[in-house]
Amino acid sequence: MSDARYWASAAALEGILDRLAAERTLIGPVRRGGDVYFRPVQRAADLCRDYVNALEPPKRWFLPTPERLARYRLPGGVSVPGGDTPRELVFFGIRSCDVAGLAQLTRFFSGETVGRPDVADGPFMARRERTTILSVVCQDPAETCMCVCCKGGPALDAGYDWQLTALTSGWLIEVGSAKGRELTTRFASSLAPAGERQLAEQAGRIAGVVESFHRHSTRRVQSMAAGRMVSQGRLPEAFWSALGERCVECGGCAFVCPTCNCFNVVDAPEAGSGVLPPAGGPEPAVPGGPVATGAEGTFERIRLRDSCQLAGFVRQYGGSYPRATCGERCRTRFFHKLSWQFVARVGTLGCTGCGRCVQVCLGGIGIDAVSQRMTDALVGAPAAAPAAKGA
Amino acid sequence: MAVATHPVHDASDLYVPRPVRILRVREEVAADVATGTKRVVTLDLDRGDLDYLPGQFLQVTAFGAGEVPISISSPGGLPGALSLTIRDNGVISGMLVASKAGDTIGVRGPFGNHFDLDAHRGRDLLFVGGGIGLAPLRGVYWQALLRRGDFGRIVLLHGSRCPGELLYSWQWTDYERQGVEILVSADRADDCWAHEEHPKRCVGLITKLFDEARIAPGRTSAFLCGPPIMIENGGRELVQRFGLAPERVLTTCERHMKCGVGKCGHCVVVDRYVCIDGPVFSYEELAALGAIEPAW
Repeated sequence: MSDARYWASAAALEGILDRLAAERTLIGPVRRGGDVYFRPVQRAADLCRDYVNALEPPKRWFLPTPERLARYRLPGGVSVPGGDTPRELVFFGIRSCDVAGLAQLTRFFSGETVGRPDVADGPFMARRERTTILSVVCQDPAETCMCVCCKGGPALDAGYDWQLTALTSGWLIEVGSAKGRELTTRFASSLAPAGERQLAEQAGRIAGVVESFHRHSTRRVQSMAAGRMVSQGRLPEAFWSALGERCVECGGCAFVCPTCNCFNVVDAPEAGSGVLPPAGGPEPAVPGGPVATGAEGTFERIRLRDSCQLAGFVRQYGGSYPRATCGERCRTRFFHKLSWQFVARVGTLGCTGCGRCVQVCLGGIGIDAVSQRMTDALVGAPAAAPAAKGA
Repeated sequence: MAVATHPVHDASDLYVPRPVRILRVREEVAADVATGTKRVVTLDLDRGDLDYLPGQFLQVTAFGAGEVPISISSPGGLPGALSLTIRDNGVISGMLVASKAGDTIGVRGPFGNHFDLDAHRGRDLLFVGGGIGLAPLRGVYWQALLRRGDFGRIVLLHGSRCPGELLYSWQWTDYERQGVEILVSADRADDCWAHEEHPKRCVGLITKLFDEARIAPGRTSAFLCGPPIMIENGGRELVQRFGLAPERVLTTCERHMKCGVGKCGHCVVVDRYVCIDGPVFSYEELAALGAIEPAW
């Protein structure tokens, strides 16, 4: 729970954001064409005001793709990309589902989730440490939003530096970290302690979103039945192969997911280095696979986003292909998202309810639809409504 | 010598290979188009201050191509070279197999858990290596031989598709002198196979050798590695037919990996990361995972 609450007028907040934009990189929602993206802005006036969420989660700012991990010259030794400290970023306007997703990614890349703090991911952690999160509570969620049913929103207790809620007049600010407290100290002259009336208004607005979700939305991330079926391995192969038939293997669900973290690492000639693969084999045997260059020159080790739904994710040379069918890969994905085993390991579901996979899935197997299928597999599909008497 | 189970990395160099020099290259298996046999070599590396425990693996870089996980095939805690036995299976392993003494390759690690030999003190050790699967076991039985008195019988079963693919045959006499009982099998015999009597041999799957190995179930720990089908069937047979305790049947899994530190997600089996929770798993653990997804 946040330790302090303040109120700022709309003009005061704009002034704070303008000052932050002047000294750091301010990233917030902007509209490009019909879509909303998180992009750097020069001043607060450039921020988009009427948006639900960006289609792409903010993870691209923490896990850029491609990202150089190392660089080397052949023949010779290895050189590390030296000393380019990431920029100080301030995010304004990211939603609670993404804050929760980022918190999950941070626990994962710090090694905490797998009990290995000794192998924290340096590049990710460096960026995360230089980021300030000013999240904004969502009050008009999309039809696909499900944060309410998996502790992903609409408001959070932790994970942000400031959590802002728009009120009839001005903003309520909750402070969630030492970094947030520093900001409040610094901008004390623009802030006033939140009054009872403002706290009550915020509570009412959040309760309204929750109530509206329960009353109107048919989408749910998980049910007890779904968790039971997937965790105990009780869903038959036919269940997964039917899902596999719907999946077009685009990987979209993973790329727009705020919690998905899988990546690929490849070594390749550095762009512009002039190194070309030998004649006859410029293309890798499988997409994303290695290419033997055997040449001299400058190479880089790059990290690319990957998805467990893509063919080849676990394919090995030598003929072993553990999850050769799309259905088996669907099982892995939804097991990771919904199983009790991963909840025990990670502490939360692998979903924060942002609903993006529902929006992008071409096969109609967003997480809510799959969860519903799992529930139906245990309790049976709901009976069709009985025909009206005398009809 | 005490070795940290988990290597401690400077966060900035987590994905950066360190260059190491190849001291020697020994050809274990020659390529043979007729039998579909692929070339296998053992690279002896200048290990520097790199230390490890039996069963751990390295992420090995062929500079200019990329990185693959390779088990370590020599005992840790000792001076001397670090051995990697590699089969020419793909682009990167092909480049590694083609390397020569004096070349530089990259390594990261060691990664993963290990075979804890202390837990098997006083017991018989049964090593079952199918094909290239003997490579990760070699460091383990070698380590056991360094403290030979701590264990009862040490039996090594090694099988392959054809006689030419058997590994480390140049060391067999040496092993036997140190009290290792060796039995070998080949799925298909060749002309010489039947004429040689030593070591004891049979034609067929490696599991046929179980009957010859005089296994005492109550006091035997088994270490298996090989193709998935061998681990599945061999493990089941040792547990169900010979009555070994499932937690005493240990195996090491192979998965595609990109990081080695539980981040890239490629090696996940059910809820385990093979790179940090494994690669060593007991038959008991794999059977439990198998309820959701076959882990072998």
